[in-house]
Amino acid sequence: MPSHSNLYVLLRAHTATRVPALRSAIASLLCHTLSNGILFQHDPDEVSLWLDSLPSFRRSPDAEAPDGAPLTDESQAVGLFLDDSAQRCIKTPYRYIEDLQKLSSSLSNDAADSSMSSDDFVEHTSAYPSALLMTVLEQLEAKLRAKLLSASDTLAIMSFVRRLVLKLMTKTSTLSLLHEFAKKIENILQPHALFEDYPVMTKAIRREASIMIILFEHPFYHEDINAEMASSDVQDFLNQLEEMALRKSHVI
Amino acid sequence: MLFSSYRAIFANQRRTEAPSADVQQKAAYELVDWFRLVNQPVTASDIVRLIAVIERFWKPALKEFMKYLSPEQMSSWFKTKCVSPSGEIQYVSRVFHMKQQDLKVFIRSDFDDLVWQLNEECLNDLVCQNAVVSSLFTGPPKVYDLKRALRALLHRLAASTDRVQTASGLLALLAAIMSQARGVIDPNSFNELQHLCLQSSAIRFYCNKPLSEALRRGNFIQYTYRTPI
Repeated sequence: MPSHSNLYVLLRAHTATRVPALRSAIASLLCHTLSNGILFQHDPDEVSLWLDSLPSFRRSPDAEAPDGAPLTDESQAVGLFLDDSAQRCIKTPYRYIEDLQKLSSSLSNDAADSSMSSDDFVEHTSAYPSALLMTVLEQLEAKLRAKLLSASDTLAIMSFVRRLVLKLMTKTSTLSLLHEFAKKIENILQPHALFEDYPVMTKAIRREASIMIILFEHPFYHEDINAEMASSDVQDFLNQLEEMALRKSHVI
Repeated sequence: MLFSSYRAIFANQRRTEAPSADVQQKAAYELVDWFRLVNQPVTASDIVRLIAVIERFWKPALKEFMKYLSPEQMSSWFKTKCVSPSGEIQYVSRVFHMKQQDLKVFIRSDFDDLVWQLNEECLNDLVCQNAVVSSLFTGPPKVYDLKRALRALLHRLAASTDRVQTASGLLALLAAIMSQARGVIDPNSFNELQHLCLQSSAIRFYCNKPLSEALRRGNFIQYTYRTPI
């Protein structure tokens, strides 16, 4: 049976507990521990953004998607993925810091983004996300290529990454680096790299990436589109649900 | 799909037993999964109905549900009107924010989402503005959180330079946050917030051009800088 790191145990405990005081205590412990290490010493407050992006889902053991893909524990999937990414980042941190710096420098060549330069990177590391973000990018691609992630795991990780990027947008003064990161993620999630046996899951995974990218590229898309037509299948399902919820309240 | 919890609820109903809290929780989360995976358009009124059902099953799952609304779904949902218990027609957003105080915690923790999802109608709605701003000040505010909220608004403002009504609402929100912050954080921290705003390309853009009437209603500069500290 594989042994888990302390980080994984704490991440799992953080997402599993339903007791707010306990959750807050575990979050404080994680923030304290991680902010002293290489991952978050540049900005101790960033830890909370990563923790707030974790899933807090509960599922039945037999849950499955309409295309038959098993739906498994999201917090476990994200916890394992983050733990593995963190161990790799801690082992060779400079590699990922350089990746982050390269991404930032490549953007500084763009005249429209003169605020990004390698000097800025060195002087203002607290304004940049953790290098762990680059490990997440690398590992998502590597694990998908090696078929090490299930459809459910990939959806969980992508939902986490989307939420994280949205939160990281509030700690950086420019969005170009995160936009570039989002484009790289979208590029990884091409249909052929995902799960052809599970088209519904593949679509849901790609939807997460497109919601993320739309904020950078078409921030007013949602204000400009017309309302979608109602689906009769959805209406039928909602009618059944409401009837069920009503009966439930009568029973209770 | 995803009906294991619902089957359990039906079975309990036949035996006239109340479903356990565990079954209800899972049923609520299964609905969130259904929403993530449904391959059909889900309209704003569908979302209102879904929220009501999830709330009945397990209210805390609402927070999870809101995380998966796309910007256009959130925006169209905000535009939906409904009738309040007093018979007054209100925006769903207004009922949602003002009637359920515990959901202010949701707004606070997901401020980053909300900033991108509020449409211009909501941004310029005073009740909606108050709800969003007061969510940041429900407890002692952390300067880090206020900076994050300001940056989120400034990013959207930078993308809204050709949208007068949106920019006006965002400036009003910035002004309201700064105005409240002035009274509750120390002067040095408040200076940091001012510095953050003044350094932003969005505020610099508006400082360098004559403002329209709609933008002046945002009153950001007046609220933020009128009194020297």
